Amino acid sequence: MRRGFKTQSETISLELRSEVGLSAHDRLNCTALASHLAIEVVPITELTAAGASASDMSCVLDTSTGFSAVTVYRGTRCKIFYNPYEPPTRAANSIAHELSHVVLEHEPGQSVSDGIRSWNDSQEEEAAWQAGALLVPRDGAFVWLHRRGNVATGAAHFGVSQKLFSWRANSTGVAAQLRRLGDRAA
Amino acid sequence: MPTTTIDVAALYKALDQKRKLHEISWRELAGRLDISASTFTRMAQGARPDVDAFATLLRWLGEPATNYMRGEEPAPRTPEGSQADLEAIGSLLRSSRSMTPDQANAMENIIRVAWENVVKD
Repeated sequence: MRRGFKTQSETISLELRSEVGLSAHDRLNCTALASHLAIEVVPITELTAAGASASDMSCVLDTSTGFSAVTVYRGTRCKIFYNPYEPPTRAANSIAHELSHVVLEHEPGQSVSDGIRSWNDSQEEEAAWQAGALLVPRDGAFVWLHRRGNVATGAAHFGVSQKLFSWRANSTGVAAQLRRLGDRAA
Repeated sequence: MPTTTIDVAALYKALDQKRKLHEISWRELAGRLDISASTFTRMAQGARPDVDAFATLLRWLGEPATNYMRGEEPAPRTPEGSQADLEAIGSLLRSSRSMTPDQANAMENIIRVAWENVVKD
Protein backbone atom coordinates (compact mmCIF):
# COMPACT_ATOMS: atom_id res chain seq x y z
CA MET A 1 0.00 0.00 0.00
CA ARG A 2 1.21 3.51 -0.78
CA ARG A 3 2.91 5.44 1.97
CA GLY A 4 0.50 7.26 4.27
CA PHE A 5 -2.53 5.37 3.03
CA LYS A 6 -3.38 3.72 6.35
CA THR A 7 -3.36 7.04 8.17
CA GLN A 8 -5.41 8.62 5.40
CA SER A 9 -7.95 5.80 5.60
CA GLU A 10 -8.58 6.54 9.29
CA THR A 11 -8.99 10.24 8.48
CA ILE A 12 -11.47 9.48 5.71
CA SER A 13 -13.40 7.16 8.00
CA LEU A 14 -13.70 9.73 10.77
CA GLU A 15 -14.63 12.46 8.29
CA LEU A 16 -17.39 10.42 6.73
CA ARG A 17 -18.64 9.21 10.10
CA SER A 18 -18.77 12.79 11.32
CA GLU A 19 -20.78 13.81 8.26
CA VAL A 20 -23.46 11.26 9.14
CA GLY A 21 -23.38 12.16 12.83
CA LEU A 22 -21.31 9.24 14.08
CA SER A 23 -18.19 9.05 16.20
CA ALA A 24 -15.44 6.43 15.91
CA HIS A 25 -17.25 4.36 18.52
CA ASP A 26 -20.63 4.10 16.80
CA ARG A 27 -21.91 1.40 14.52
CA LEU A 28 -21.93 2.52 10.88
CA ASN A 29 -25.00 1.94 8.75
CA CYS A 30 -23.45 1.56 5.31
CA THR A 31 -26.72 2.14 3.51
CA ALA A 32 -27.15 5.44 5.35
CA LEU A 33 -23.60 6.43 4.40
CA ALA A 34 -24.34 5.56 0.77
CA SER A 35 -27.47 7.67 0.93
CA HIS A 36 -25.43 10.58 2.31
CA LEU A 37 -23.12 10.21 -0.70
CA ALA A 38 -26.19 10.10 -3.00
CA ILE A 39 -25.27 6.56 -4.08
CA GLU A 40 -28.06 4.07 -4.51
CA VAL A 41 -27.55 0.59 -3.03
CA VAL A 42 -29.84 -2.22 -4.14
CA PRO A 43 -29.89 -6.02 -4.03
CA ILE A 44 -28.67 -7.40 -7.34
CA THR A 45 -31.77 -9.60 -7.54
CA GLU A 46 -33.75 -6.47 -8.48
CA LEU A 47 -32.15 -6.74 -11.90
CA THR A 48 -34.29 -9.76 -12.72
CA ALA A 49 -37.26 -7.41 -13.10
CA ALA A 50 -35.05 -5.16 -15.25
CA GLY A 51 -34.32 -7.91 -17.75
CA ALA A 52 -31.48 -9.99 -16.30
CA SER A 53 -31.94 -13.64 -17.20
CA ALA A 54 -32.73 -16.13 -14.45
CA SER A 55 -29.85 -18.35 -15.51
CA ASP A 56 -27.31 -15.51 -15.39
CA MET A 57 -28.61 -14.43 -11.98
CA SER A 58 -28.50 -17.97 -10.67
CA CYS A 59 -24.92 -18.37 -11.91
CA VAL A 60 -23.78 -15.08 -10.36
CA LEU A 61 -25.40 -15.89 -7.02
CA ASP A 62 -23.99 -19.42 -6.92
CA THR A 63 -21.64 -19.57 -3.97
CA SER A 64 -18.77 -20.75 -6.18
CA THR A 65 -18.82 -17.37 -7.96
CA GLY A 66 -18.22 -15.69 -4.63
CA PHE A 67 -20.18 -12.62 -5.70
CA SER A 68 -20.50 -10.00 -2.97
CA ALA A 69 -21.17 -6.69 -4.70
CA VAL A 70 -20.47 -4.63 -7.77
CA THR A 71 -20.42 -0.89 -8.40
CA VAL A 72 -21.52 -0.07 -11.91
CA TYR A 73 -20.66 3.28 -13.48
CA ARG A 74 -22.52 5.17 -16.17
CA GLY A 75 -20.51 8.30 -16.81
CA THR A 76 -19.92 9.86 -13.40
CA ARG A 77 -22.94 8.17 -11.86
CA CYS A 78 -22.78 4.84 -10.13
CA LYS A 79 -24.96 2.36 -8.32
CA ILE A 80 -24.04 -0.47 -5.97
CA PHE A 81 -25.61 -3.90 -6.41
CA TYR A 82 -25.01 -6.38 -3.59
CA ASN A 83 -25.67 -10.04 -2.87
CA PRO A 84 -28.72 -10.10 -0.56
CA TYR A 85 -28.05 -13.70 0.44
CA GLU A 86 -24.86 -12.97 2.31
CA PRO A 87 -25.00 -12.68 6.12
CA PRO A 88 -25.63 -9.06 7.28
CA THR A 89 -22.07 -8.65 8.58
CA ARG A 90 -20.63 -9.79 5.26
CA ALA A 91 -23.07 -7.60 3.28
CA ALA A 92 -22.08 -4.57 5.40
CA ASN A 93 -18.45 -5.23 4.59
CA SER A 94 -19.22 -5.66 0.90
CA ILE A 95 -21.12 -2.36 0.71
CA ALA A 96 -18.39 -0.61 2.72
CA HIS A 97 -15.85 -2.11 0.30
CA GLU A 98 -17.69 -0.71 -2.71
CA LEU A 99 -18.17 2.70 -1.09
CA SER A 100 -14.46 2.67 -0.37
CA HIS A 101 -13.68 2.28 -4.06
CA VAL A 102 -15.81 5.38 -4.69
CA VAL A 103 -14.36 7.59 -1.96
CA LEU A 104 -10.82 6.52 -2.89
CA GLU A 105 -11.55 7.64 -6.45
CA HIS A 106 -10.63 4.27 -7.91
CA GLU A 107 -10.92 4.06 -11.66
CA PRO A 108 -13.65 1.67 -12.75
CA GLY A 109 -12.66 -0.77 -15.45
CA GLN A 110 -13.96 -3.88 -17.10
CA SER A 111 -14.18 -6.28 -14.17
CA VAL A 112 -15.22 -9.07 -16.51
CA SER A 113 -14.86 -9.18 -20.24
CA ASP A 114 -14.99 -11.98 -22.80
CA GLY A 115 -15.23 -14.60 -20.09
CA ILE A 116 -12.24 -13.33 -18.13
CA ARG A 117 -12.23 -11.80 -14.66
CA SER A 118 -9.90 -8.82 -14.28
CA TRP A 119 -8.35 -7.92 -10.97
CA ASN A 120 -6.58 -4.80 -9.73
CA ASP A 121 -4.46 -5.78 -6.73
CA SER A 122 -3.71 -2.31 -5.39
CA GLN A 123 -7.29 -1.04 -5.69
CA GLU A 124 -8.69 -4.17 -4.04
CA GLU A 125 -6.16 -4.00 -1.22
CA GLU A 126 -6.93 -0.34 -0.57
CA ALA A 127 -10.70 -0.86 -0.70
CA ALA A 128 -10.46 -3.78 1.73
CA TRP A 129 -8.42 -1.70 4.15
CA GLN A 130 -10.63 1.37 3.81
CA ALA A 131 -13.77 -0.71 4.35
CA GLY A 132 -12.33 -2.03 7.60
CA ALA A 133 -11.49 1.51 8.70
CA LEU A 134 -14.99 2.70 7.89
CA LEU A 135 -16.64 -0.12 9.81
CA VAL A 136 -14.22 -0.29 12.74
CA PRO A 137 -12.07 2.82 13.10
CA ARG A 138 -8.83 2.28 15.00
CA ASP A 139 -9.98 4.60 17.78
CA GLY A 140 -13.27 2.75 18.03
CA ALA A 141 -11.55 -0.63 18.37
CA PHE A 142 -9.12 0.75 20.94
CA VAL A 143 -11.79 2.28 23.15
CA TRP A 144 -13.99 -0.79 22.92
CA LEU A 145 -11.26 -3.20 23.94
CA HIS A 146 -9.72 -0.87 26.49
CA ARG A 147 -13.05 -0.60 28.30
CA ARG A 148 -12.92 -4.36 28.87
CA GLY A 149 -15.01 -5.27 25.87
CA ASN A 150 -13.80 -8.23 23.83
CA VAL A 151 -13.70 -9.27 20.20
CA ALA A 152 -17.10 -10.95 20.29
CA THR A 153 -18.92 -8.01 21.84
CA GLY A 154 -16.96 -5.54 19.70
CA ALA A 155 -17.95 -7.36 16.52
CA ALA A 156 -21.59 -7.38 17.61
CA HIS A 157 -21.46 -3.69 18.50
CA PHE A 158 -19.93 -2.60 15.19
CA GLY A 159 -22.03 -5.03 13.13
CA VAL A 160 -19.08 -6.91 11.68
CA SER A 161 -17.77 -10.46 11.86
CA GLN A 162 -15.46 -11.40 14.72
CA LYS A 163 -12.82 -12.13 12.10
CA LEU A 164 -12.98 -8.56 10.79
CA PHE A 165 -12.99 -6.99 14.25
CA SER A 166 -10.03 -9.11 15.29
CA TRP A 167 -8.18 -8.28 12.05
CA ARG A 168 -8.73 -4.56 12.67
CA ALA A 169 -7.52 -4.82 16.28
CA ASN A 170 -4.39 -6.66 15.19
CA SER A 171 -3.56 -4.91 11.92
CA THR A 172 -3.97 -1.39 13.32
CA GLY A 173 -1.72 -2.13 16.29
CA VAL A 174 -4.54 -1.76 18.82
CA ALA A 175 -4.03 -5.25 20.26
CA ALA A 176 -0.29 -4.68 20.68
CA GLN A 177 -0.88 -1.28 22.23
CA LEU A 178 -3.30 -2.75 24.74
CA ARG A 179 -0.89 -5.56 25.59
CA ARG A 180 1.75 -2.96 26.34
CA LEU A 181 -0.76 -1.24 28.61
CA GLY A 182 -1.33 -4.57 30.33
CA ASP A 183 -4.89 -4.75 29.13
CA ARG A 184 -6.06 -8.33 29.27
CA ALA A 185 -8.87 -7.69 26.80
CA ALA A 186 -6.28 -7.50 24.01
CA MET B 1 -40.24 23.42 -8.84
CA PRO B 2 -37.97 26.45 -9.37
CA THR B 3 -37.72 27.71 -12.95
CA THR B 4 -33.94 28.00 -12.74
CA THR B 5 -31.69 25.17 -11.62
CA ILE B 6 -27.97 24.40 -11.48
CA ASP B 7 -26.57 22.22 -14.22
CA VAL B 8 -24.65 19.98 -11.85
CA ALA B 9 -23.28 17.75 -14.60
CA ALA B 10 -21.79 20.71 -16.49
CA LEU B 11 -20.36 22.17 -13.30
CA TYR B 12 -18.84 18.82 -12.31
CA LYS B 13 -17.33 18.43 -15.77
CA ALA B 14 -15.76 21.90 -15.65
CA LEU B 15 -14.32 21.18 -12.20
CA ASP B 16 -13.00 17.84 -13.38
CA GLN B 17 -11.23 19.42 -16.35
CA LYS B 18 -9.52 22.06 -14.22
CA ARG B 19 -8.73 19.51 -11.50
CA LYS B 20 -6.99 17.29 -14.04
CA LEU B 21 -5.02 20.25 -15.37
CA HIS B 22 -3.77 20.83 -11.83
CA GLU B 23 -3.11 17.08 -11.46
CA ILE B 24 -4.90 16.81 -8.13
CA SER B 25 -7.46 14.36 -6.79
CA TRP B 26 -10.97 15.36 -5.78
CA ARG B 27 -9.93 14.91 -2.16
CA GLU B 28 -6.98 17.25 -2.62
CA LEU B 29 -9.22 19.81 -4.29
CA ALA B 30 -11.69 19.56 -1.41
CA GLY B 31 -8.85 20.19 1.02
CA ARG B 32 -7.65 23.25 -0.89
CA LEU B 33 -11.14 24.73 -1.01
CA ASP B 34 -12.01 23.68 2.54
CA ILE B 35 -15.13 21.84 1.51
CA SER B 36 -16.14 18.26 2.12
CA ALA B 37 -14.82 15.68 -0.35
CA SER B 38 -18.28 14.17 -0.16
CA THR B 39 -19.58 17.25 -1.96
CA PHE B 40 -17.83 16.01 -5.10
CA THR B 41 -18.98 12.42 -4.60
CA ARG B 42 -22.54 13.68 -4.34
CA MET B 43 -22.19 16.00 -7.33
CA ALA B 44 -20.97 13.07 -9.43
CA GLN B 45 -24.36 11.51 -8.70
CA GLY B 46 -26.21 14.65 -9.78
CA ALA B 47 -26.80 16.11 -6.31
CA ARG B 48 -26.53 19.90 -6.02
CA PRO B 49 -23.85 21.46 -3.83
CA ASP B 50 -25.01 23.79 -1.07
CA VAL B 51 -24.90 27.53 -1.70
CA ASP B 52 -21.57 28.13 0.05
CA ALA B 53 -19.91 25.25 -1.77
CA PHE B 54 -21.40 26.44 -5.08
CA ALA B 55 -19.95 29.92 -4.54
CA THR B 56 -16.57 28.46 -3.58
CA LEU B 57 -16.47 26.24 -6.66
CA LEU B 58 -17.40 29.10 -8.98
CA ARG B 59 -14.68 31.27 -7.52
CA TRP B 60 -12.12 28.50 -8.09
CA LEU B 61 -13.31 28.11 -11.66
CA GLY B 62 -13.28 31.89 -12.11
CA GLU B 63 -16.68 31.77 -13.73
CA PRO B 64 -20.04 33.43 -13.08
CA ALA B 65 -22.95 31.39 -11.74
CA THR B 66 -24.96 32.11 -14.87
CA ASN B 67 -22.69 29.76 -16.81
CA TYR B 68 -24.27 26.89 -14.88
CA MET B 69 -27.85 28.09 -14.55
CA ARG B 70 -30.47 26.49 -16.68
CA GLY B 71 -33.93 27.83 -17.37
CA GLU B 72 -37.12 26.09 -18.28
CA GLU B 73 -35.82 24.79 -21.58
CA PRO B 74 -34.22 21.40 -21.06
CA ALA B 75 -30.59 21.03 -22.06
CA PRO B 76 -30.01 18.97 -25.19
CA ARG B 77 -29.52 15.32 -24.35
CA THR B 78 -27.57 12.55 -25.98
CA PRO B 79 -29.91 10.08 -27.65
CA GLU B 80 -30.70 7.10 -25.42
CA GLY B 81 -29.29 3.74 -26.30
CA SER B 82 -26.18 4.90 -28.12
CA GLN B 83 -23.96 5.28 -25.07
CA ALA B 84 -23.25 1.58 -24.56
CA ASP B 85 -21.47 1.51 -27.89
CA LEU B 86 -19.57 4.73 -27.24
CA GLU B 87 -18.20 4.19 -23.76
CA ALA B 88 -16.95 1.21 -21.83
CA ILE B 89 -19.18 -0.04 -19.03
CA GLY B 90 -17.11 0.65 -15.94
CA SER B 91 -17.44 -1.46 -12.84
CA LEU B 92 -15.69 -2.42 -9.63
CA LEU B 93 -16.46 -5.96 -8.60
CA ARG B 94 -16.16 -7.82 -5.31
CA SER B 95 -16.21 -11.54 -5.96
CA SER B 96 -13.92 -14.54 -6.18
CA ARG B 97 -10.66 -13.61 -7.82
CA SER B 98 -10.98 -16.44 -10.30
CA MET B 99 -14.12 -17.23 -12.25
CA THR B 100 -14.95 -19.82 -14.85
CA PRO B 101 -15.69 -18.39 -18.31
CA ASP B 102 -19.39 -19.18 -17.76
CA GLN B 103 -19.44 -17.30 -14.46
CA ALA B 104 -17.59 -14.33 -15.96
CA ASN B 105 -19.96 -14.25 -18.93
CA ALA B 106 -23.01 -14.34 -16.63
CA MET B 107 -21.48 -11.55 -14.55
CA GLU B 108 -20.81 -9.50 -17.66
CA ASN B 109 -24.43 -9.92 -18.79
CA ILE B 110 -25.70 -8.87 -15.37
CA ILE B 111 -23.40 -5.83 -15.32
CA ARG B 112 -24.74 -4.77 -18.70
CA VAL B 113 -28.31 -4.88 -17.36
CA ALA B 114 -27.12 -3.03 -14.25
CA TRP B 115 -25.53 -0.34 -16.43
CA GLU B 116 -28.87 0.23 -18.15
CA ASN B 117 -30.35 0.55 -14.66
CA VAL B 118 -28.03 3.37 -13.55
CA VAL B 119 -29.59 6.80 -13.91
CA LYS B 120 -28.08 8.80 -16.71
CA ASP B 121 -27.00 12.44 -16.42
